[in-house]
Amino acid sequence: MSSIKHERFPLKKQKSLLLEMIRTDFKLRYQASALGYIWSILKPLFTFAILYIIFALVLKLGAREQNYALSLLLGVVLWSFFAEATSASLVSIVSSGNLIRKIDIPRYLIPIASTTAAFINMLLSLVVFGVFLLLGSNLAIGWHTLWVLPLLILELVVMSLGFGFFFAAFYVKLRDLNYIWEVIRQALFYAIPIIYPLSRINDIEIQKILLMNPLTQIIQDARSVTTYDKIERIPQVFGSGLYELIPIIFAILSLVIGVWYFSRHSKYFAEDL
Amino acid sequence: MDNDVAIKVKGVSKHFILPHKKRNSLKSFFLNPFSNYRNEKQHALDNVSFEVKKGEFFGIIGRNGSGKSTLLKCMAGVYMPTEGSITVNGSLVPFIELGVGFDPELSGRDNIYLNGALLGFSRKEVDKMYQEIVDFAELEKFMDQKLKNYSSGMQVRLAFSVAIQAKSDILLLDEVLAVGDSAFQQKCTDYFTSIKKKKKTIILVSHNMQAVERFCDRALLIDNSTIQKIGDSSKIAEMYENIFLREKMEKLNGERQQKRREVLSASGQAVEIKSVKVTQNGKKVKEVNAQKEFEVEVLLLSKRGLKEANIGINIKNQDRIMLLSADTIAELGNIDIPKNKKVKIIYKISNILANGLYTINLGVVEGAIPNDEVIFREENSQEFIITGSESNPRALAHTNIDVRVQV
Repeated sequence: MSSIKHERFPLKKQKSLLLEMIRTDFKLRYQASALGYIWSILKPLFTFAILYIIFALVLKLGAREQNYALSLLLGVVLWSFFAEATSASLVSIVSSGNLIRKIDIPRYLIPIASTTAAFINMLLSLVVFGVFLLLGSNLAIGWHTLWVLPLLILELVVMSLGFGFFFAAFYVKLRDLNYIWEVIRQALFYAIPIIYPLSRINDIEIQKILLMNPLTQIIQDARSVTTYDKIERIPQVFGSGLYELIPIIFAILSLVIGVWYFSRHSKYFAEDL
Repeated sequence: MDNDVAIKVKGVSKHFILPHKKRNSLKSFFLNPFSNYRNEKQHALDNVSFEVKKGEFFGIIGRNGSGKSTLLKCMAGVYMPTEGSITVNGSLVPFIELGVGFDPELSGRDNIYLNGALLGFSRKEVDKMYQEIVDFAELEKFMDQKLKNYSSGMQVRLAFSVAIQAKSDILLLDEVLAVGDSAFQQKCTDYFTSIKKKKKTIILVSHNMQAVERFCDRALLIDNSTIQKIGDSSKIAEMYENIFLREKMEKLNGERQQKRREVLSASGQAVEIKSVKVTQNGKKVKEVNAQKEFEVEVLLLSKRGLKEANIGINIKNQDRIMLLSADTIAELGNIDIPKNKKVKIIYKISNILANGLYTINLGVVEGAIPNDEVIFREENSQEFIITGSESNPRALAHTNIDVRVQV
C-alpha cells in the first residue's frame, strides 16, 4: 500500500485555479486573431449558414418541418458543444504534461476546464440562437422552456464531462484515441438528426435506434421546447415515456464511469505521460 | 505523528515501467497482443525512510539518476509511490521548477496570474502582490509583452519573484540555484537567509555543495536509489564529493594500467615501476586522513645500470597544480644503481593537503647537474584522496596558523 497525505488546494483555491485555467484557455485560443472572442460566435454561425444553404435552400430537406432552420441551428449549437468539449478534454491531460509532471494540482480540473471553456462557447451561441428564436414565429416556447432546456443542457454537460474524463485518461495510454474519436464523431454527426429531420426516416425501428442515442434525445427534446412541439421524441416513437430514462441513465452512467476511470489512473499520469 | 515533524517518508519505493516496453498505440495492441507485455521495472527509489523536522533546512543531494528528483516528486505529490507512505504536516508548495505553467504566448502579466493560481492564489491575492512581484523582478516595462519575447534571465526573474510569494509551511526547491546570473543568485541567497530566519521548513535539492553546506542543517545523500546517509550537511556534502573522487580514482587507475601495458611492450625503458603505494599508519590506503602524516612508497626495477641517478616524485591536485615535490638527491645525493636491481624509496610527507583528489607523478634523472637528463617519467603513478579536512575547501593546503589579533 502506498499513500500520500497532503493538505493542498482547498476547494476555494481550486475554484480560482479553474477560473485561471479557463481564462488562459480563452486567451490562448484567440490571442493572435483580430476578431478574438467574436469567433466563438461566428464559428457556429458559419457552420449553420453552410448547412442551411445546402440542406434547407438547395436540398429542401426540412420543407415540411416547422421552424426547420431554427431547429438546425439549435442542433448545430448543441452538437458543437459535445464535439468541442469531448475533443478538447481528450487531449487536455496529455497537452498539460508539462504541468502534471512538475506540480501537484488537482488533475480533474484540467478536463473540467476544457469542458467549461466549451460550455461558455455554447452559452454564447445559445444567446445568438435566442435572438433568432425571438425573431421567429410559430414557436414552441413557454414557461416550461425555462426549466426543461437548462435540465437538458445539464444532461448534455454531464455526459460530455463523463466522456471527457474517460477520454482524457485513456488518451494517456492510447495515443490513437484522438483519431479514433475523430472518426466516431463524424459518424455520430450523421447518426443524429441534426441536419435532417427525424421524421424523414421512414423506418420506425431506425427511428427508435437513433433516439436511443442520448444526444438525439437531448437535441429532439430541446427542439420540442423551443422550435417545434410536435417533433419526434421518445414518448411518441416508443409509445411510452419510460424509455426516456434510458438516455438519461446513459448520461449519468458515462459520468460515473468517466470519473471512476479518471481517478483510478490520474495518480500515475505524471509517469505515464 | 509527532507534531514537530513536517514530512515523514516511510518505506517509500518507486518503480517505473520502462518506456520502450510501454504500449500506447493501437498498432502494438494488434500486432503483438500478448508478447511485449512484460513489465521491465526500473527501481528509482528503494525503501527510503526519513523525517524532516519543522523549521529545518534539509538538503537532498545525489548524482543525476540517483533518484533524488523522483523522491522530491513523490514528496510533492506528483508521483504516487509504488510502496510506502508520505505524510506532510502543513501546507506545502512544490516549486519543483521555477515558472511551472508559464506560457510563452501569454503576456508577463497573464503569466503572473496563471503561475500564482498554480501556487494556490486567488486573483484578488495576486492583485495585491502584483506590484511587489513586478518590482522584485524589475520588469515593470515588460509586463504587457509576451513571455516569448523575454530573455531567459528575465523569465527566471519573473518566475522567482512569483514563487517567493508562496506562503506555505514547507517549500520544496529543486536546483533553483543553478540558474541565473550572479545578481540573481544573490537574490536567491538573500531569500534563503530570510526564510531560514522565519523558521520555515525547506527542502532543497542541489548540486551546489557550497549552498547545501551554507543553508542546510541536515542533508540526505541518495545514491543508487537508496539513502546512503543522513546527517550533518557538511559531512554529507563531503561524502557526496568523495563519490566523484572515488570514481575518478577508478578511472585514473584504469588509464594507468592501460598506459603501463603499452609502455612495457615498448622496449628500451631504463626503469620499470613495480609499485607505488600510499600508506598511513603502516597501512596501504587510497583515502588519506587530512593533517596526519602519510608515506609514499616507490618500488623500481632498473632495466640497465643507472649512473648518478635521482628519483623524484611530485604531487599534483586535480587542476594539475604541483603542490609538493621531493627527490633522493636531497637526502643521498646522486646514486648509482646496478642493472636489474630493485630499489625502494619511502617519502614521508607531513600532510598539509586540503580535501580532494591528488596524483603522484614520478621521474628518474640520470647525471649530475648540469649534465642531467630525464630518462624516465610517468604522470599519475598513483592517485589518492584526502578526506576529513575541516578547513576552507578552496584553500589548496593548510597548516597550523597561529592567529593573533591586536586592535
